[in-house]
Amino acid sequence: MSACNEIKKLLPVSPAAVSPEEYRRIIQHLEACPNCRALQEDLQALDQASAEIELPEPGNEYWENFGLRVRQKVAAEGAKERRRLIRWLTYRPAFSWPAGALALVLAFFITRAMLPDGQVPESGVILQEDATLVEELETVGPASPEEIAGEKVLTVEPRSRPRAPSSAEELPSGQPEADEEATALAEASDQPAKKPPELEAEEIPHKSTAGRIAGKVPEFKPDAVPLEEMQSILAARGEEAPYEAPPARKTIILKGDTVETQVSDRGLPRGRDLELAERPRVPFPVDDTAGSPETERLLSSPIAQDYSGIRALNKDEFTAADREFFKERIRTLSEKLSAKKLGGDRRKVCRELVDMYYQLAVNWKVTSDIERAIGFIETARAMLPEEDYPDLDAKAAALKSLLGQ
Amino acid sequence: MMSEHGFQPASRSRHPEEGQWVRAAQEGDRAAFDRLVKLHQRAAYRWAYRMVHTHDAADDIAQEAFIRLYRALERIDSERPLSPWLCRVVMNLATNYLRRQKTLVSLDDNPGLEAVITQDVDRQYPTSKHRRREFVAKLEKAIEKLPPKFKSVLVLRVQDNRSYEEIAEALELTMGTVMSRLSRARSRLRKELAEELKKMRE
Repeated sequence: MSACNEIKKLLPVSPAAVSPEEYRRIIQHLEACPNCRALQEDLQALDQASAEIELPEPGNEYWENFGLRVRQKVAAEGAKERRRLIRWLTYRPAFSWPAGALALVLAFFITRAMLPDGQVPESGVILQEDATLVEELETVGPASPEEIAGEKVLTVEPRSRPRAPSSAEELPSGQPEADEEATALAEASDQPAKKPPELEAEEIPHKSTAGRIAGKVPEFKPDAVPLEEMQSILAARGEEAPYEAPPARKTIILKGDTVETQVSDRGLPRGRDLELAERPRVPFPVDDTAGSPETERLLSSPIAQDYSGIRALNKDEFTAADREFFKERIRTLSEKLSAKKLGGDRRKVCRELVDMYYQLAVNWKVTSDIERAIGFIETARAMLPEEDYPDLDAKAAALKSLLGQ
Repeated sequence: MMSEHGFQPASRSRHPEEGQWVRAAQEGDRAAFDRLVKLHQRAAYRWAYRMVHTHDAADDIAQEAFIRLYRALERIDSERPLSPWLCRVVMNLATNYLRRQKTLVSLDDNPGLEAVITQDVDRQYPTSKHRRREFVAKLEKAIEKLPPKFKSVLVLRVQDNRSYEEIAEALELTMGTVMSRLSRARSRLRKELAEELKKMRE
């Protein structure tokens, strides 16, 4: 059996696979051993049949194009590698957009959570500077020139903004309407809309254009009259909602032909409004000839004589109704000017609008009005001929002088 | 008898310019690479087909083998024959293909319509030629069922007439492993086709 095992390892044997002596020895064993001979025959049959298994012949065209297809695949492989490299270099996680959106939302809520109670982002209240002209005009509080013995004092003060009541309960029952925005905010947050005093002193001078101009003022002081006291007085009269104290006060004093500008760090007491409210109201329009001696003196000043619009200074006193008249006229003219089919009336409307802005600015001496008037004069240069430029320049210079520039 | 069915060791003479083409291809000569492809494309296809038994798969494997050659050109030793390296790549690709297709083989066990018709004809007109064809078909099926590691050795040795040394070099196996695998492959086939082999001996 050991011989069979040794022989089986060499089967199927072939003369070329082994030496002649080995081949002769195997043949002798196969002739003597039927099992090994059967194995030899089976394996030979299997090998022979295996060699007979046909291979398909794809054809000459296949073989001729074989190399070309390989080249194409190699080229495609290179392009794929380049695309893969580009994708790798420019890879951005698929979740980047949702993650970015989530980050923005979280940042929004975190920012809100970090604000003090009741304080809201500036975009809701403070950015009135970016609102339309009409909206801005509507928020301007009343103001009036003051007369001090022997001198005409023009008080240029930053625009006042509506101030929210300290709480919903503080609003007097007889008050017709409180600041709707502040009330809405207070209702929405269930928190008092009043800002902490320490924040008011820092924020207000920087929120508005007036505040930025007043930023030249070195120091701001809160109201000289307590808010609660003023609220109680105003609420008893049922006239107007309480206002914040303006951050600073700028005074322009006309002494003969000279103009002096004084910036006071004293907070403007709202008592001035109360004092004005006590005065008898003058119907509008007033008689220009009924001016006081001081008005006559002002009209004879070089500044007043330069501008036709300074005639309004002759008025002894202005009321809120007068201011509303100017605002309404500006509103009407602005809408008219923005109309596309204005034609040749554009210059006429523009000139009148310049006058209205100027009148509003010089009569009430409100900083924001003056700034708007200066801004519109610059805009009007594009719509008016050069022959109007001297008038525009004079008005702009007068308005800038009011600002102390 | 023995000499009639014996296997002559394959004398795989290397093409005299193969080394030069390999060096030129390594330097970027596309024409040289094309010549290498043309020199070995039929062998690559044949190895692949013997392993996977379908033209499409054999074509894919042969093409992929030359793409691998292109990628590995820098690592190819121009002093050595390219055939063993290419054979190893084809066999590995075919083995991977068969492993992926393993679950699908059972679905293909049923003979196709052509095979059924052939069997019917053979039953009606049983001649030696028909019996031979039937035996070869069964053998082919049996070879298909062989594990890839046995099939690759059997294909190279029996169908491609490679010597043990060449098989060992191509498949990176020892001579003993090659002979062992070949013996086990034959034993499986003999067991699978025992009845047919017995009829043929009678």
